[in-house]
Amino acid sequence: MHGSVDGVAQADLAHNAAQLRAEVKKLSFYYGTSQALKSVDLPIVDRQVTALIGASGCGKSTLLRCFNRMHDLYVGNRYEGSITLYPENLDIVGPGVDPMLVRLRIGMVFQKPNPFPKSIFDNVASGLYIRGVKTRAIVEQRVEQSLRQAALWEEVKDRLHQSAYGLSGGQQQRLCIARALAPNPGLILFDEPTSALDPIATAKIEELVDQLRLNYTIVIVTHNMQQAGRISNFTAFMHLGQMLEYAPTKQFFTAPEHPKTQEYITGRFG
Amino acid sequence: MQNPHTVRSFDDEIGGLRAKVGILGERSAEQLSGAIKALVDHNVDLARLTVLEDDTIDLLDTQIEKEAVTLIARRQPMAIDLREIVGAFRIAAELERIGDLAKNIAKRAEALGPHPLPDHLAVRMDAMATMASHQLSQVLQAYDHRDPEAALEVRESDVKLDELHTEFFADALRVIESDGSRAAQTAHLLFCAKNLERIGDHATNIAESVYLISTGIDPTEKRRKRDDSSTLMPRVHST
Repeated sequence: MHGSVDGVAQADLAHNAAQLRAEVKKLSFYYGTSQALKSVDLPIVDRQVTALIGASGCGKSTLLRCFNRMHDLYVGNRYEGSITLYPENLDIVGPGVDPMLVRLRIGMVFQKPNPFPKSIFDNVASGLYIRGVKTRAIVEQRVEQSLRQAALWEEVKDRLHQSAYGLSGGQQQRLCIARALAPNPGLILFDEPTSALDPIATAKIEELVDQLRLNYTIVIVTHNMQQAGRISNFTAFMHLGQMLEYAPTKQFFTAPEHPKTQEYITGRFG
Repeated sequence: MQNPHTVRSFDDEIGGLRAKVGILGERSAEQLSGAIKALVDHNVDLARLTVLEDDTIDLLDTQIEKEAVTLIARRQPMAIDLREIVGAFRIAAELERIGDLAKNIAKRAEALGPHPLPDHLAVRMDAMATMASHQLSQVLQAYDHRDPEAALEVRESDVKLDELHTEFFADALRVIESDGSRAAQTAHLLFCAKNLERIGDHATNIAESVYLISTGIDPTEKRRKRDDSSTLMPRVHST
C-alpha cells in the first residue's frame, strides 16, 4: 500500500497521537468463489472521516459492508483476515462473532434514504427499541438529541408522530442519520449518502458529517471525489479489490503517490 | 508523460494554458535580452522599444490568470492537473515581474543615454546579465520539459548570481567613493544590477514551481543566500 500506514499517514498519525477506532488487516472477502477484496489493510482513525474511493466494482462498498457484516445475509460469502474494533478489541469478522452484536455497535446510512414506514419519532427510536431501551423519558431524550445532531430537530419537532414519508429526500436522509446516531454507535458507515440528493441537501449532509466528526468515527464511500476532498480527513483508493493508496486527504488530492490514484482522481482512467 | 483525460477538451485547455506560459516566458526572455543590450550598447532606441514590450507581457499574464481561474472553477482539477494549473498561475506572475524588472533596466538604459559605462563595471554587468539570462532560459526549458532536476540546478545556481551582485555592489561603491561625478550614473547601474539579481530570484521561484508541478514535493530546503550587498556600507569620510 502506497503512502500508507508506513509512509506519510503514519507520520501524521504519530504526530497527532491519534487513536484508531478500527483497523482492517489482511482482509480478503469472497462472494462464493469470486474474490472481491484482496488482503486489504486500512486504519480507521478515531473521530475522523475516512473516505473510500475507487471505480465501480473496485470493492469499496464490499469493504464498507464488511464492517457491519451485511454480507452474512447471503450464503457462501466468506471473510479472511480481521477488522478489529477498538477499544473493545472485537474482531468484527472473526469466526464465532455474532453479526447482530456487530450491528448493534455500528450505524449505517445508505445511498437512498430508507426510512421505515413509521413515524419520525419511531424511526429514530427503532435502534433503541431493538437494544431494549424502553424507558420513555430516555427514548424521548435520545430521539431529540439525535434529531438535533442530525440538524433536523427544528424542522420536525412539531410533527414527530407523523409519517417519515412526508419528509423531503434530504430530510429523510438526515432522519436516517439521526436513526443511526440514536444508539450512539462506535462507527458510522455512509454508502454514497448524497448521490440521490441535490446540491443544497448535499451541503447540509456534508456540514452534518463535519459536525458529527467531533463525536463519531465515520467511514464514507463516495463516487464524488470533490466530496471526499471536502469532508474527509483520510482518503483510501481501491482498485480491483486492492487498497492502492491511503493518505491524509490534503496530500491525497494534491500529490498522490500511486500513478493509478493520479489517473483516477484526474479523470484519466482506463 | 500522462495519459490523456477521458474528457479530451480538458487536455486541450491545460495544453493551451501551458503553451501561453511558454509564450510569456519567451517574451520575458526577449524583453530581458533587449534591456541588457540597450544598457550595454547604450542604445536608447532599443531601450524605448523594450519598455513598450511590457504591455504584451502584462496582457499575457492577465489572460493566463483568467484561464487558470476558469479551469479551476469549471474542472475542479486535482493532483497533477491542480499543480499544473496553480503552477502556471504562479509562474506567469513571476514572469510578469521579470518583465517589470527588465522594463526598469530598459528605462534606466534610456536615462543613462549614450554614455559608456566604466570598463570594469561594464564587465561585471555583462557577467550578471549573462548569468540572469541563462538562469531564465534554463528554467523555461525545465518548465517545458517538466524536468525537476534541471529546475533544482537553476535553484542552486542562483547563489552565483547573488555573489556577482555583491561584487558589483562593492565595485560600484568604490567608483562612487573615488569619483563623485559618476555617482548618478553608478546609482542607476546599481539598480540595474539589483534588478538582475531579483530576476535570478524570480527564476528560482519558477524553478521551485516546476519542481512542485513535476514531483508534488515542495523544495522547502532553505536556499543559501550569497547576496551580502545589504550589509555593505560606503566608508564615511571624516570631515
